[in-house]
Amino acid sequence: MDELRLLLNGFGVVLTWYNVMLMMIGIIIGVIVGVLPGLGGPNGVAILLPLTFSMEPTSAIILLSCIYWGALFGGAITSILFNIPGEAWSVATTFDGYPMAQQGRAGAALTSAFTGSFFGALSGVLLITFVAPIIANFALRFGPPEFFAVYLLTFCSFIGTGKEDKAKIVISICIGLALAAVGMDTISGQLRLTFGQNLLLRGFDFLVVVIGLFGIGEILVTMEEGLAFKGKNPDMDLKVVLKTWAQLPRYWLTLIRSAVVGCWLGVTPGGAIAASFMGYGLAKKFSRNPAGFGKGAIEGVIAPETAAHAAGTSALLPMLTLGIPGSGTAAVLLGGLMIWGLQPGPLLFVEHKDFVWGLIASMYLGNIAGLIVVLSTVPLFAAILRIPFSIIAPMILVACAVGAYTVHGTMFDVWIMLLFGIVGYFLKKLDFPLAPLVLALVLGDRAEDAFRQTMLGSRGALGVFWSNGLVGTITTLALIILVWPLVSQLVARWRGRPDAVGPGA
Amino acid sequence: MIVGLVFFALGVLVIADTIRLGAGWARDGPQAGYFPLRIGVLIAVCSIIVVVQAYRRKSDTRVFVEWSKLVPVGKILLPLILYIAAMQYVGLYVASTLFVGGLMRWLGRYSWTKVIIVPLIMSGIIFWLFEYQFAVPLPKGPLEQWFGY
Repeated sequence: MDELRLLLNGFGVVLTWYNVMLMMIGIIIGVIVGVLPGLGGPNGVAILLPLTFSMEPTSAIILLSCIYWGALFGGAITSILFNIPGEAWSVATTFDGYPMAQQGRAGAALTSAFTGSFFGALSGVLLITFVAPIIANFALRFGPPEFFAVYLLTFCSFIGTGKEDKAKIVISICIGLALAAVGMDTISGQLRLTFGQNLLLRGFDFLVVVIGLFGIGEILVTMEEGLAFKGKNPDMDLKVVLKTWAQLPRYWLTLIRSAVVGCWLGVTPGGAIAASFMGYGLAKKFSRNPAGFGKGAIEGVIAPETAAHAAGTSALLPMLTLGIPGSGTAAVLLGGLMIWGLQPGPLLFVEHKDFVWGLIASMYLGNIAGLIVVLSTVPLFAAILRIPFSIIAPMILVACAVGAYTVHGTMFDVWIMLLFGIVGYFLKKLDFPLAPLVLALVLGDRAEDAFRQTMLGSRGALGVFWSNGLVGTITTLALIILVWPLVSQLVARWRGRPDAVGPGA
Repeated sequence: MIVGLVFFALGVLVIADTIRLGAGWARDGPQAGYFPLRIGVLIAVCSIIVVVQAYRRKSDTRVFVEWSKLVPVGKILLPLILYIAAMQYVGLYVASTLFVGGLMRWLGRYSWTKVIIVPLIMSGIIFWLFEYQFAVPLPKGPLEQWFGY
């Protein structure tokens, strides 16, 4: 097994005192980021990314990916103890987690949530370990047309599978693409969309935009809702943990089902949020007592957490192999890779073996460390949440400002951050999805380059996208996903009310 | 609906600039504006859809933000703007200390001792982290110069 040998090699890279220390720090910061409203995975990683520029890429990615794992774990704490989802993907966890906490079973709920998360993450990592090299190998044959087709597939699946209004998703993606186009054109060297402003020459840095959209925007929304934390006390000790663990094997089917759903949705850019709801729905459907759901069923906690973690982890698979992030945080990590001079994509597996396998090894260790850290420190994080928002909010804003400033060391970026904070607030209020925007902003230039290189090669014939079996399949698949909701809606309408004329989708 | 119109304007703006660049086909392939033009058109078209949808759903009288709720938002947004503006003149550390302290006093109504101690500790940590650990210079003002940094 070639993979196993490489993986062991990766463990060798990771297991230094320095890296293990970074891992612990990353997990703890990540859990804090996941616990606090207004600081999410993408935003937490974006703030800290500039600080890692001076570090070794492998150490830096270990730190940042551990923040990501921590954030995934942290979301469960707030959902269960406070009935406030710290992250969008832990909304489904509140359905049964909070009732359990109300019944005094908070410890059991947390333990099962964390263990479920761990199991989900582990399945995601296993998937990456064995499938990623195959995909990367396969993707080595990709040329510009194939890459553009894959980008198209990414955007189309966002539109096709998104729950929000389709027009709004398209606008969100297009704004991202338009923002990516600002600045110097990479092929002709012309200036685009700068309107004579020299400051816009460099274009918008996605880190600044992410910090603004997710950080500032989130704080403004939270301020409007006027949060007051009234939480349950966690009763965590070793006895509760062991007792819950003894129960868990009974739910093996739920665990596996959720993990599979999560892996699948994580790879396609539907993301962890959809996965957690789907995992919950499936568990309810197949459960022996569906009536118990919503009233504190332990399965109702395990299912969404497992699925969310599996999805969050496997979102890194397309990022590493194809250079396409499966989630908002993965998009930020991808941007980080590019800044470190590592071109994400199939070549990464050939040229930077140490880095890739170090990262994969750190996923195993990071999740084990994460499980231990969160199980032992829940009371601490619950205490953090009791700090009033009027202290936390300004501190988060300061952290955002510092983060935005350190990206390039200019005040202009801080103003841009403020601007996007306000934009993010309005978009959030109006149900515009933000993840597609960030994704498009990161991928925009690459997608455009791929498209134009293709066009240069084919002299403008669109037929090149169906010129061979590979690219043709991907393009067709993208178009099918794009129109799928429309078709299924039409079919449903045609079956239900043959003569009804509804509003266009 | 208004937002839809704003996006429409944005789309038109993109279109206008890309046409200036040349959005067609040169002999060697697409010009610089080719890709953004299509995006501009897409934004414009979709914003029309959103506006139409908003118009149709007129029965949906849900107010975007109630005025009473805008107050807390403004309470944090205005200080934030002031904070960023101040950062340019007095440096990040002084501005952050005042910002956190001010909001704690104003929104949280903490006692003056806490209002003074907590932000100072925070600024101290930031200073230690960035100046010594990461060696990343943050904007400084006259106060830091006076200390010799």
